[in-house]
This record gives sequence, structure tokens and C-alpha cells, in this order.
Amino acid sequence: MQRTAPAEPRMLTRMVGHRYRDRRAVGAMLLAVGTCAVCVLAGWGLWKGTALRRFTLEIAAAAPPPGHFLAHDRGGHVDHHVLLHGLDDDTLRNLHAADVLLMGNSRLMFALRGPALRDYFVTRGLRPFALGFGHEEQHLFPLAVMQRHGLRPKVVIANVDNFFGGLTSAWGTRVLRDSAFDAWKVEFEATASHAVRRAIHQVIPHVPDLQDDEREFVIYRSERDGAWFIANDFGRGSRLEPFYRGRDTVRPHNLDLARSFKKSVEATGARLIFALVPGRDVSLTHAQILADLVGVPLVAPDVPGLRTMDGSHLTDESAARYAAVFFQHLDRVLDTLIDANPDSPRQP
Amino acid sequence: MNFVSYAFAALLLLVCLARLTVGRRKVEPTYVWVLLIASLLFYGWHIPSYLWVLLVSATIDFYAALALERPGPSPRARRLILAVSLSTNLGLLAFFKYFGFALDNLQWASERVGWDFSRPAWHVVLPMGISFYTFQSMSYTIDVYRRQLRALHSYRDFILFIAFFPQLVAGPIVRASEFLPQLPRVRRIHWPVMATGLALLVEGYFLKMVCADTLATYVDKYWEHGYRTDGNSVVALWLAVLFSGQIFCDFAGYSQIARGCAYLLGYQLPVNFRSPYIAGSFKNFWERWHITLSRWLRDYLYVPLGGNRVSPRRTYANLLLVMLLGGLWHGAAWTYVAWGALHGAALAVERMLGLHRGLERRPWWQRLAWGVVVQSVVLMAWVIFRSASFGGAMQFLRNIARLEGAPLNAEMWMAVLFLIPIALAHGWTWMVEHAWVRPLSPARRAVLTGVMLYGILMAYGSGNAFIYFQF
Repeated sequence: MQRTAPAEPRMLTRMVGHRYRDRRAVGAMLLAVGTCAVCVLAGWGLWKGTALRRFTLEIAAAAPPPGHFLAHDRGGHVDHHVLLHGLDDDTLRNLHAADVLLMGNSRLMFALRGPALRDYFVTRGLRPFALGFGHEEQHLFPLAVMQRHGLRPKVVIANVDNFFGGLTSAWGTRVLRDSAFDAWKVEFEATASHAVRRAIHQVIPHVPDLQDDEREFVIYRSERDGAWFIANDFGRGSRLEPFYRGRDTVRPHNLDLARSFKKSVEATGARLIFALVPGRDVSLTHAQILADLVGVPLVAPDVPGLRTMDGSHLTDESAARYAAVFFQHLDRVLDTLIDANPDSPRQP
Repeated sequence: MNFVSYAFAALLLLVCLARLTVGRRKVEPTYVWVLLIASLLFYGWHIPSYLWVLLVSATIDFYAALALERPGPSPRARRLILAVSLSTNLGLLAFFKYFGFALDNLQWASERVGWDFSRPAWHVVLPMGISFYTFQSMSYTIDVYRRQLRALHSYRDFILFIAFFPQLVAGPIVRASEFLPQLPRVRRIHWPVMATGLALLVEGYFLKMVCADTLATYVDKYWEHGYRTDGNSVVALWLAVLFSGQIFCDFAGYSQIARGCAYLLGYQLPVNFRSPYIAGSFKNFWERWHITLSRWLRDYLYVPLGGNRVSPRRTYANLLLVMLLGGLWHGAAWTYVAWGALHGAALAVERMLGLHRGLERRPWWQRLAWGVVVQSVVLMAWVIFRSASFGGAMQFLRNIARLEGAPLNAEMWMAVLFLIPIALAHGWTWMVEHAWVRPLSPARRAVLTGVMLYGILMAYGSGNAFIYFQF
């Protein structure tokens, strides 16, 4: 008794001390959460209740249309992984079924998209798939996609704006090296991040995204035809610069790559068409010489008065206008190709 | 796995759930297994096949320690066992980290002397955090060899010590004597510990996602301007200051997150940073910057070399050698070696001048002047550390030294804004250390944590991997 009696009050004091400290700690956590909640409320009020409301945040409004997967958000080009590693079953099925593959950089992907692309090819009885990529991607990456999945299209349309440099972008190189597990991880991270960002920024503004110069585009990609759906405006709008038409030459290295590409495409039974979407420093002379030397038709309409989102990529309205003219020009080339190749489908 | 990823968030959530259910009290084996599996998953998430590197290193050290402790082996046999353990770790490190570097230098040297050697195009991918866990593993064997530590008989517990995921890939480098006693400890859930863990997590994520990632955007975008022969002094200096802020926030942020996670899981990790940019001497800088590496180098390299118990000249040579190796530990490039050499030389000069101790007894203006010198050299060393080549770094420093004037534009001021939290934190630590103010009360810290949490949601920068992952 003598040994236990003094221990009891000590234990009791310790328990009371523990309880007191626990209560204070829980109180501190609640205070932190409460402070954050007050900041959220105050920030939201300041954003929406004052003149600051003119700063909009498209990520909160951007919603993927049905049948689309996330292609790009905050520096992550998820579509590289999805297409090369075949992460989306529907997309892969449509890629296999495609009669026409459109390859090229982001200028092509912005210019030929939406209903214009679908309607034109459907009326010709062809299934298109836009296999272009952003991020300085040239011909090697789409060719790798084609070869990995054993695609056998009837026509390949390549936008030859800096297309035959023989380089793969740093991102593309990584994607080619990545395993299927890596690809899944990238897609999981990007998709989760995008979903969380969309939810959070309904109430909390992301300050860097409010600045026009800092804004990045959010893009979804159609499972049916690979076309990009641009979910936000970004950059500062400006007029699209016309083609460069002065003196130019084609370097033997680029010519060899173009010829080799043509050989690879024709080995699958497809016919190759070159295209050229206008933009800053895009040389029509170079494209024409290249097309003549390789022996491939070139479709490069010049459409006046087009506007871009950021000096390089067409706005929705300009893209629709450009696509209409482009397909008129392409129509004639396809007619010629189809006449020359009796196996190719005809217009219904 | 990166701390700034949803995969990590999911993993941490699952492990915390295990802590609250199967890990509530005493030494639940289930909880230890959960931690171990989570740690291996965390590491294998990067490149699964590199798990074997970690396991080989840890297994050899585990059995080496057991052999060292068995009664019977002669001193010579014990030295041999230690040599096997150290050479395995250093061999793995040498192969994965320095093999490519050695080939590059061989190629360079062969070109100079006219040998016909063409570098094979092998590319060895560096296993994440190899420098951290090999050092941790080596310290265990050395401690057992020195009879300062009893060998652990549970392989599972030893692997957990090496692979404990909060500190696995970028430290803090934990001593076995700090971690192993925590394994059999009763780990009741203490809410103050949980609250501290959460506060550390928020502080760490704020440093990384808001400050480091935003500063990185400016540094990555403009750094090469510093290499230009017509580069402006103000811009070069601005970039150097931004990078010094970025690397601090990046690494200190990681360490805080690691400590926060460990707290949540019932463990404690050592402090790794203590406001290094208020250091008044080089010695003091290394007592504040990457503290766990500094003490590793001190205890396992500097002291065995003789430390300061030898002649002054040998002491200077020891300092230089230790810092050179410390530089090389950071990466296989001459710029890292030069960075280490600069710090080593600075430590030697400081000791030569007698400024390494008793500084606080000197007049304030001497302290201030030496403090400015110290921080200027540290800044200069960061330029060398960040630069792609030694020539580039020299040009960068030449640009700064020209001392041309130019006003800061809006973008430059915007970047400077992200240095303010670092300046405030350093200033606060300085005032606390000089007893001008008392440390933050829990309530004030809670309010600050809430504000930082909002800051993270509102101003996170572009996601980048942690700089120290590559080491």
C-alpha cells in the first residue's frame, strides 16, 4: 500500500496532463483548419465579390466532353503515353480502324479539329484519326505509334512544318523508354491531379493561372478520332502570320528522312500526303520543294484573316474557317489518289 | 515515388490508417510489416528492378554486422568483414553513380594523349536515393564494428531501418542508434505528435510547392543568361540568389515532409536544416545545412582521418578532402567537386584565421563582416553547383563581379516575392536564437499552418522532382 499510494496521484496527474495536452493539440489542429477555411472564404469573396471577378479560371469550368480523355494539363502531355502504350481501349480500337492518319505538330492539331474534321471524312466514307502531338514532336514518335500498334491506314497526312528533323522531343524520348507501368503511373497522376485541380479551383483561385502569360492550355482528346478539344483560352490572341514564301532550300538530311518516312508509310499500304498549316516562320517554299523531291502532293491553303490564341495556335472560329478551306483543297488531292489507287474507298 | 504525387498521398493515407488501426499500441508486427511493404512499394514505384540494389546493400550489411558481433573473429577478420561491407556499398555507389563519369573522363583524357578509346554508349540509370541509403547502411556496420551498437537480429527490422520510406530517397541520413531504439517503443497515438507531424507536412509542402517550384521556374528559364559574355550583373546575381532560395526550399521542404510523415507514423527523424543562411561562419553553416550529412562526414570520415587532433596542416588537408568527397557525393560532375573544394578551402581558411570558434566574443562589426563573407562564398558556391560546366560557372561569376547596375523589372520583383517566406523564417530563427522573441506558441503556429495550407492551394508552382532525388 505504501508503495502504490503515491503512484496513483502521479498517474492521475499524468493522465490529466496527457488529456490536457491532447485537447490543446486537437484545438490547434482545428484552429489551423479554421484559419484555412477563413482564408478560403475571404479569398473567394475577394475574387468573386470585387472587380477581380474579371479574372477567370478556365480550369474550374473546363469539363471533358463525353468520349474524351485528358491529353494535356500543366506541362503533362498525357496523350503520348495513352496512344503509344494503348492505355485507352476505345481509342486503340479507333486507331486500328482509322483509314486516315493526320500527323504533325500542335498547329495541325489546333487547325483540324472538332466537327469539321469528322464531317468531312465521314462524308467521304473514311474514318480519320488525328495522330499529331505537341511539344516539338517530329515524325519519329507518330511513326513509332504506328509501328507499335501495326496500324494500316489508307492515307497518311503529315504536316511538314519542322516534321523531318529526325528528333524526338525530350518528353517523347521518355515515353518511348517508359514501360507500360510507367505509362499507367503518368496517366493516373495526371488524371487525378486534373480532377483535384478542377474541384479545388471552383472556390480557391490558382493565382499563377489567373495571369494571361502564365496560363497553360487544357486539352482533351477524342477517343473516336484523336482530335483535340481545347478547354480554355490561353495566351494573348493575335493574327496568324502567313507563310514564308521567299528563297529556301531542303537539306539532304531532311530529304532522306522524308523519303524514309514515305517508304515506311507506303510499306503499310498507305498513301502519303503532305500538308502545311501556316504560322510564324513556316516556309511554303521549303514544303513545296520537299513535296516535289519526295514525290508527294502538298495541301497548303493560305487562308487570310485567321486569328490565334497565342500567336501560333488557331482559335475555335479560325480553326473552323481554316478546316473548311483545307478540306476543299484536300478533296481534289484525295480524288486524284483514289483514282490512282482502285483499292482506296470512294466517296459514297 | 515523389512526395508531391497522388500516388504518395494514397500510400500515406493507407499507412496512416494502419497506424490508427493495427498500429495503435505496442509493437504490432502487422504494423511493422505494413511499413516495410509500403517502404518497398515507395521505392519500387520508381524503377522496380532497382529494389535489388537496396536489398543487396542492406542484406550484406545485416549479415556483416551479425558476423562482426559474433564472439571469436580476430581483429583482422573483423576488419575484413567491415571491408567487404564497405566495398559492396561503395562499389554499388561507384558503379551506378560514377561509372559514366569515369568513362567520360577516360574519353577526355584519351583524346588528350592520343589513345584510341571510344566511350561505350552505356547509360546507367541512377537508383533513386542510392547515396542516402548506402551511407545509412554503412554507418550501421561501422558502428557495430566500433562496438558502439549491437547488431540487429531481425532482418525485417533492419530492412525497415534502411528503407523507411519518409527518409529513403533524400534523407535525413538517420543513424541506426537513432532509429532502431524507436522500433520496439510503445507508440500510442499522441495528438500533440500528430499535430506537429501535420504542421511539419504543411510547412514542407509550402516550401516545396510554393517557394521552390516557383523559384525553379525563373531559375530554369533564365539561368543560361548567366553564361553569356554580355550577361548583366544584376540579372546574374538575381539568379544566384533565387537558386540559393530554391535549393534551400527544395531540400529543407523535403526534410520537413519526411519528418512530418515520420511523426504521423510514430517515429522521429533528426532535424536536417536550421536556417543556414543566418550562419556567421562556414563551420556554423555546415551545422545548419544538411546537418545529417555533415555529421556523417565528420564522424565517419573527418574524425577517422585525424580530424583536428593532428597538425594544423593535416587538419586543413582533412577538411579539404572531406568536403571534396562531400561534393562528389552530391553528383558525378566536376562542378560538384569544385563546390566541395570551395567549401573545404573556406573551412580551412576560417580555421587558419581562428574564426571557427569564439566568434560570438568578437565585436559585432567583425561578426557581421565575416558573416557577409561567408554568405557571399556560399552564394558563389551555389553558382558552381548549379552550372552545367565549370567554364559556364566562371563566366557567371565574372558577370556578377562586373557589378553593373540595372533596375529590377516586374518579373524579377515577382520572383523575389517568393524569397520573402525564407527571409522571414531565417529572421525569426535568428531572433529566437538571440532571445529577442520566444518560439511560436502552438496557437500561433496553428494559424500560420492554416495560412500556409491556403497558400499551397492558391499558389503552387509547376511540379518538379526534388533536386536531391538525383543524388
